[in-house]
Amino acid sequence: MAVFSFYLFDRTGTCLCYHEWQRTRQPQDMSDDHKNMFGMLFALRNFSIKLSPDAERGIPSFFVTDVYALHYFETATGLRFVLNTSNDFKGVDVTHALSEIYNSVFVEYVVKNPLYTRGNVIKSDLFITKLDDYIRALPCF
Amino acid sequence: MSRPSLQALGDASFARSEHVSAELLALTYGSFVRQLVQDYESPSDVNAQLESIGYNMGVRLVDDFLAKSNISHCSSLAKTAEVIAKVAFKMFLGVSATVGVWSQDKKTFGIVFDDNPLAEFAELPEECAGLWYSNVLCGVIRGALEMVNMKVECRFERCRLRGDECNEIRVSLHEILVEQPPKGED
Repeated sequence: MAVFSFYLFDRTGTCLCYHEWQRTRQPQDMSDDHKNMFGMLFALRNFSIKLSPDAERGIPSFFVTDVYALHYFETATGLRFVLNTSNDFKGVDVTHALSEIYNSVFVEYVVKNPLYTRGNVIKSDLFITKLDDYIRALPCF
Repeated sequence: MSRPSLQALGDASFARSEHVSAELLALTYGSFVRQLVQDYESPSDVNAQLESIGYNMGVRLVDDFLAKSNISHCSSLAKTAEVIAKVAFKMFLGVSATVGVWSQDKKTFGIVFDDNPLAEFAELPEECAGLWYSNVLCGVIRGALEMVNMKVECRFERCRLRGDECNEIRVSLHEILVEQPPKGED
């Protein structure tokens, strides 16, 4: 089992935070990678809602391919948390882990940090450290 | 979610969060307003300052609120109103509020509450007659709702410091913002 990479986007598509662990294939251009990821999620999310029987809901929580899985969590404030893992994460609710990252890492170390301005890339080392600790402690790491 | 469960959620969120002494809050806020009254002569300028400070708080507070309350989505303005009154007011101020009268077009509602911990020891002198003492709350609501894509305007309608029998904040919905697709390469 492995965790590859983490992305955090805001509503406008700015990548607030990117971190990687065991990503074996590096993209040529990081900013293209972020843009493509956000664009893909934006389209996937909107189309999923169109397919849904409930006009308000139907946001995907993960998808699985033959080698990796992408886990997705979004908040009402438009933050999008993404974690790519290997596809053998069975039994672990990674989307829930992402909501925990929002609750106990993002809110605590970013929102409550008076020096952070909304919409800026997160530069806080404390946040990165806590995020890293949290991910490494996951059973699917 | 039904009414009693929102109430219970508010109580539970309040119990879970860390508390500060009500006196400390009331006195800090009081000296803060006092300073603003000294710095800006006209009460309407002070109101605007308080509102804008509140806005900056609301923009942050909303994430804390969503994380702690586990509320993910409100399907209607009516539900948003209930959540603000029953859960948010309880969670951050320790008081329960009720949703007051709705306007004809269902776009404006009131949040009515009796106790206001911010104004616990305050009295308005005559020269501050135009001051909405707790106007910071209007800004908080506006900032928080803007982050969940609702553009609203808030103002105090009634305030106990002015001799009204309760406090009331009127919230009017202007528009629901639509998320824009990401910009293309060109």
